Amino acid sequence: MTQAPMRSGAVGGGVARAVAFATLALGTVVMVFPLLWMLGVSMMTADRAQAATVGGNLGELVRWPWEWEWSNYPAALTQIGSVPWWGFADALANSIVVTTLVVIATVLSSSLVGFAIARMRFPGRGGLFVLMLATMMLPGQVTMIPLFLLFRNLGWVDTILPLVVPAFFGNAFFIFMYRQFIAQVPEALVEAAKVDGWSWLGIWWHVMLPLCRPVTAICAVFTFIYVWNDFMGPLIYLHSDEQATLAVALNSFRNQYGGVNKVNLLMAASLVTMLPCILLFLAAQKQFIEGLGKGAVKG
Amino acid sequence: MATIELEALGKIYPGGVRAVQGASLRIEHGEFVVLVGPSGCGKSTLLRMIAGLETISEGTLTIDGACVNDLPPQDRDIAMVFQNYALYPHMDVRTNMAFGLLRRRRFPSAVRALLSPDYAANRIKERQEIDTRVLSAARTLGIEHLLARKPAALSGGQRQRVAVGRAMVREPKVFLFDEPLSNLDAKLRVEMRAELRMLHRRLGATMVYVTHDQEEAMSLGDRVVVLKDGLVQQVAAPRQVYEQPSNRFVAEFVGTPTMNMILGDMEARATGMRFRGQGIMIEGVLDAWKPFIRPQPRPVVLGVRPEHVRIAGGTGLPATVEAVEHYGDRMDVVLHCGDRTLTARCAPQPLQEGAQVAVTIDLAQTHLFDPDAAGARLRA
Repeated sequence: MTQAPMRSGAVGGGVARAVAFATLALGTVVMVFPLLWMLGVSMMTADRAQAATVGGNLGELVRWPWEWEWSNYPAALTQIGSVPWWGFADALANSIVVTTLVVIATVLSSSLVGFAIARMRFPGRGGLFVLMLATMMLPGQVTMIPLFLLFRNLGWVDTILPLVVPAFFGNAFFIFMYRQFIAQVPEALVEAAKVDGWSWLGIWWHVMLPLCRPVTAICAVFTFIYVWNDFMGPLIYLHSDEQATLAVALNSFRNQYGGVNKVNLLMAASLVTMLPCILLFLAAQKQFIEGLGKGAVKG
Repeated sequence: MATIELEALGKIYPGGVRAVQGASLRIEHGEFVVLVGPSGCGKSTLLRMIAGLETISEGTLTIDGACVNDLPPQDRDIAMVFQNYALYPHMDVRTNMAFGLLRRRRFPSAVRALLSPDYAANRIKERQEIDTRVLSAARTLGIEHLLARKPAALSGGQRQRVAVGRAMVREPKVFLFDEPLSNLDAKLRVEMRAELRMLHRRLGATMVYVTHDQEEAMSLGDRVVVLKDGLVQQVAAPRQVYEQPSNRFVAEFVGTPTMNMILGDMEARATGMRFRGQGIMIEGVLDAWKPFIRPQPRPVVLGVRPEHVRIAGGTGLPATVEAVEHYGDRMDVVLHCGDRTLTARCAPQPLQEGAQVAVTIDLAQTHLFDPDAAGARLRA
């Protein structure tokens, strides 16, 4: 019987894998803990939630027996807005409308501009691209007041227009991503479509947009998460309760109940608000990771 | 079918690079013209100018008598087969082939279509027409069974057929091919060559084909256009290009192995004429040479194709066999003769490297060129 000599490389590889695994596991725990904490608190009785959060007694999170306070969820949702359930339904509908429109607008406009910069030859193309990238360096706070004044003069305040219309003008980051991706698509495809008789718009819609699916997935998911969670925009432009999105409604809820008195309800409402983002991420996870990878390699 | 006329066509890229200069050519109805030349000679640029994918810097391009200089590709009624096939990866073969026709529907605009009272009936009719044409082209090319597949699931040859099919369904005035066989292996290339030839015969369409492979050019074209550095060197039937090359470049570019070129002097002798150069001397009488013979030696380049260099058993120019390449039905022999190397093509025979042989050159099959850079042909 022979015994294979143990290679030091294999041992080193095994240790490296173990370290990597441990690091990733630790990272996962750190990332998931706040979510689990939210989930835990949202299921607690008011007293226990108070002790676990304001009291700082983290042991409450694991203390047995556990009372599953499912009633926290309907209790929280009925207390959003002035009319039970309707306040939440309104905010949910507003969030869905704004987010859907912004996602569609961002994908369409960013891919169109990215396509034009990547494929069309026109004077000043390079300069425009650099100028567009430069807007990424501009903090949002700088443009906040001028934009508010502009939209107020247009009479758009307390409508969803200030939140939706700018999305139809593209997003510099996503334009950059689309441009990088489209630049990798063989020129012959565009030429073949031209010879086939298609216009630039037709080529963008029928050829480029379907090919850009990984970038579109990442653009849609990022935009969805950003707009769904956006608080500042709706807070500035949407003043009435009927127009409020979930993020604003949640903030009103927190102000209404002082934040700490009904922390279990606040967590329940927050969790419901987060749910679409979590579900979307889980559903589009494959495309999302693929898109990030492609962006990284092709970009 | 259409005629294409190029009048002093030129392409100047930004930066002043001249890709094509003064290209003049008339392509007749149903003709198969092959543009051939080494890399960077401007052949693809010329084809792309015909397609409308490159702007025309100088000259005029007419298709069926109408100037198309400023027409976009979609308005020229042409179809093009690209080197890398350019099949849309997200569409199946059927959609790939129908894609050009979908644009040319009676109602390309959805709004106009919806406003039409016969919208539904027309739409169905159009769809049926498109399907019929796609199916007919697919049958011709033997790709009927591939219609539901995506390009990624096809072999190189199948993709090539789909690309040709996509051009066929459009029934364009002109077919343009940009090195469509260069990505295929040697065997498939020969097969596809034959298929393209048959297709041209069946469709009778005007076709312009670009290749860097002179064998492909010679086997496919009714006429061959040889290009170098953006300049048209010769436009002629393949046989004429081979047998009567217009200059040294064409003579050396066309034919494998390349033509032997010997630099020397030609002079009149009492017995006829004599060529002497690079350690090689040939004497003889040839009427075709007479116009170029002077009593004083005149510098010329003598060209002779390898099949006209004979390895003789008896008298001739003494030569040493340097290398032998066997091809089964024939062999190429590299010989050291005088001060230079000659290549001979002959029937298989037992020749060893290093063997001493005698070489004769068939004077009637030789070509004379100017020794200057242009290297123009001296014999008609």
